[in-house]
Amino acid sequence: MPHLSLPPGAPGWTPAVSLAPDDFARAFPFHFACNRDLRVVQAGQSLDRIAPEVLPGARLVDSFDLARPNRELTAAEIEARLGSLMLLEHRRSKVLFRGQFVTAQGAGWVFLGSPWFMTAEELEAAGLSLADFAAQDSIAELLLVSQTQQIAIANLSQLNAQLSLQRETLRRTESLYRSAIAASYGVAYQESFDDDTFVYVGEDFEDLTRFAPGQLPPSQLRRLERAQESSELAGQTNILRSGDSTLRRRSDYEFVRGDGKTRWFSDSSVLVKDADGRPSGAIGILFDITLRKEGEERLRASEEEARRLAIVAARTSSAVILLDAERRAIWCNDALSRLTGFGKQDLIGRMVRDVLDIESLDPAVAAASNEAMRAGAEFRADTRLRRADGTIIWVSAEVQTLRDKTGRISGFIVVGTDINATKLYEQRLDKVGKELEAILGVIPGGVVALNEDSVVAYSNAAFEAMFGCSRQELSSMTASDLDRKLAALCHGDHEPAGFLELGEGDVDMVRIARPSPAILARTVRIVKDPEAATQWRAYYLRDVTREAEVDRMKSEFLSHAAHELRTPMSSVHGFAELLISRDFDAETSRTIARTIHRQSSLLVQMVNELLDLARIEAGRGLDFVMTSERLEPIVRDVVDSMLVPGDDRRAELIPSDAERLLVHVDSGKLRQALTNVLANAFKYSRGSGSIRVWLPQRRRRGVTEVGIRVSDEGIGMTPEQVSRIFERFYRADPAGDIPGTGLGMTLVNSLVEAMGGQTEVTSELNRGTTVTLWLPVARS
Amino acid sequence: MYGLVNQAIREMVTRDHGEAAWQRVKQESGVDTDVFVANAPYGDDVTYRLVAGASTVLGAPEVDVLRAFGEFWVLHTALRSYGPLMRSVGRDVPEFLQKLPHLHDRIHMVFPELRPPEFSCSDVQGDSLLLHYRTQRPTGLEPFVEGLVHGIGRMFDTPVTVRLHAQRDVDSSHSIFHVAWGERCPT
Repeated sequence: MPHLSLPPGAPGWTPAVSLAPDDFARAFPFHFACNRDLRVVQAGQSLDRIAPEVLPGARLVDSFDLARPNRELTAAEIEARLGSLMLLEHRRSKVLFRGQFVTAQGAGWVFLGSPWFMTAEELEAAGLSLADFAAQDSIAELLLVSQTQQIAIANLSQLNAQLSLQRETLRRTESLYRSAIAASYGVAYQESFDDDTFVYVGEDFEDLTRFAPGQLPPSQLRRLERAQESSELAGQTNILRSGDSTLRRRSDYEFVRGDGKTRWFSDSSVLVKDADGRPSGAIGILFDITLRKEGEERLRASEEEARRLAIVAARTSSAVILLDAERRAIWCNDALSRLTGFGKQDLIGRMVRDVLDIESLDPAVAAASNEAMRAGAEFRADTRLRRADGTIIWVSAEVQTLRDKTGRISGFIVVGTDINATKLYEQRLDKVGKELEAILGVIPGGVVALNEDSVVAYSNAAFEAMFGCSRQELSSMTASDLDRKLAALCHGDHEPAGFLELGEGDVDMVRIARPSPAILARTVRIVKDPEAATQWRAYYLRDVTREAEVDRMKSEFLSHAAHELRTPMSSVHGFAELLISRDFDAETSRTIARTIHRQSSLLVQMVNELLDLARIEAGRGLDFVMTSERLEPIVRDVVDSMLVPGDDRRAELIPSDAERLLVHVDSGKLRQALTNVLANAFKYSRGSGSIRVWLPQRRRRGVTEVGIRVSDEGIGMTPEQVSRIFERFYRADPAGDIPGTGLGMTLVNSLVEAMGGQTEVTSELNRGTTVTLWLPVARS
Repeated sequence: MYGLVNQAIREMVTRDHGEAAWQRVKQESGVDTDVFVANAPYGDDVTYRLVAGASTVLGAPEVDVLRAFGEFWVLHTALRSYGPLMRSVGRDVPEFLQKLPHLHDRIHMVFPELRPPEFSCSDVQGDSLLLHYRTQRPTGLEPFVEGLVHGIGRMFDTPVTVRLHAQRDVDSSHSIFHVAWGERCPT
């Protein structure tokens, strides 16, 4: 057994192991051996790959330099450093060889070493591979480690670059978030659960809360007055403290600032954990939402108001429709559907006036409303519309313009009310009014109405004529004004009662002198309004002047008739009584009988004439038999048959051109009239003078007339007598010497007027009288 | 496995399918690591989950993903990181495969956490050999080895075929691949 405790070369040392040359070459492929002259004796196979000039016999120093220690490569140096690590540098390739010199058997030394490379690239550049090295050489591991280190370094650089990039991204993101928070007027904060402090607050914290961060612990920030919200927020905080990072603590609450003012805050935060994952606090953001809350409250109030209005609009009996700026319907209530018969689906989105045909029914109203809506003005009008069933109704429409915040027209509200019944009533009322007006306008009496304030509310044309005032003047007059006006119209000695003094049933006779004398019968009808406790007074003033005159004339006529009839009747009665009471001789009896006969004949004539007059006045000539006749035959017939007892005269008929003209007359009545006229001519000319008859013609008011003119030369009449000649029972013979009833000329005048003619009388006292019966010529 | 391996999976996915696909792979696999430190050890499950995630996201069977990764590992990761060393292992496919065990031995010394498999060759012919693959890992990465050999073939610009000659735990105590190379080698 070798004594391994003996150093090699020591006395007694014997080698236990020896290597075969091939094994030696494999174990040390880069070795070389040299003699003491430093000439190469042997070299390994792998050395040949990198230093092919290292051949046996070559000078060692020609190929290698001693790099470490940095000395000249000499035999002495080698000898001195046997067994020590030495670095040789191959001059040509600059490759370092690491190894040691050992003493070779015989003379010289052997260098046991291998090239030293830091990187695989150096190995490759040297033209070597791992196969050139001994298996036990650690160069491969060294290069692996070196390469791995480089990869690690590259990895670290990559990591560092990524970290820098992430840090930059974080920085930008943080800056972005800070900017966003700052722009949002929110204040960021971070609170610590451990000591109830703010770790961080945004720069506006103090401005927001009016507290310095140190004065306001986070728990005080959320100390609420309202218990419900307080407990909810406390519950959320507890959840965060428990570590639930899914919860976002969120609450809106009222906060009393440091200055005592109350503001609304919106507080939103999430959990923050420390490096150990323990819930350490929260990070969040505070917003002052006071304005928003106030706006929400206003909005809520507006919405509530709108909701109430919508209910009202939906339930009101008035039709309500909302139009957009283009006047298309966007909403309508049920009342509109009921009013128009159109369903909402027929109206929404359409021009309502087209659906309801307003343009054609009331173009003026449609045009006016168009103009008003264009100008954004309020508009109200009564108009007609056509319902879905085709019927037309009246509505009262009111349009309000809606404007947006900029003042632009945003739409319209139209409220419509059914006034059809009212309109129909008004139309009927108007019709009735017109009818009444027409009726009151044609009645001869005056009508005036005073309203509850005793002011003239109505007057008709007759009243206006009576008072000489226009309707406009009368419309402002009070009862007192009417009283004064009426008094002014009356005779000075007549003071009429006041208008308001009259009661229902009273008939007040008013004698006015102006504008023309008249007698007015004034009555009143009082209309009371029990609900209003007011009354209207309607007065009727009837002109009873003619009636009064007729009454007077009747009274006068009766008086005259009685008087005229009484005289002959008294004579008849007296003489008859005389005959009855006494005996007279035959002559006297005949005389008395003649007197009785004469008086009774007069009575008969008088009664007959009265009856004729009555018939004429009653019939107004309607019972006349009118025919077209030539006057000349009728006149000649009457003239020729006129025989007056005791008077030999004959009336003379003078020819004229008018004889050929035709007249439209009742020939019998004309004969009667002419007979009366001729009789008067004879009677009032006392048997002297001529009586002439001729037929003149004239043109009056565009009508050709032919007359029968009888002229005598009798006693004539005064103008005053002429003016009364047609009065009943008037006799121009005041003495009564000339017999007559006083009805003859009255009858003549009535007969001629009934035939459309006129009786004209001219006379001169003591010279004679001319009577002309004018008759219109008959149309051919 | 060392981070280098997981980083190589990331590079393979992002090179062909983009960063978005890689993020989906991470999400699918439940691996939330942004950067894998190359020479830091990671659990094998990370690598397995990444492969499974890539399979799901890319819609490819796991065996195809492993095969593609094996090839990628040789041609990109190994060559980029240890190119000169790789090239110094051998000058052609058969030499490289025969010297591969030595490389793996040295890798084991430098990267003990890596637990590199053991390769050995037998029945070396002029155009084929048997490559023995021994691993301590419970699930075999035979498809990865196939990809590695294909990658080695492409590294030397030599067509190769790889056929599982014997399956571990089925036919043999370890997996054996029949590797053939050359012009007449069917690709």
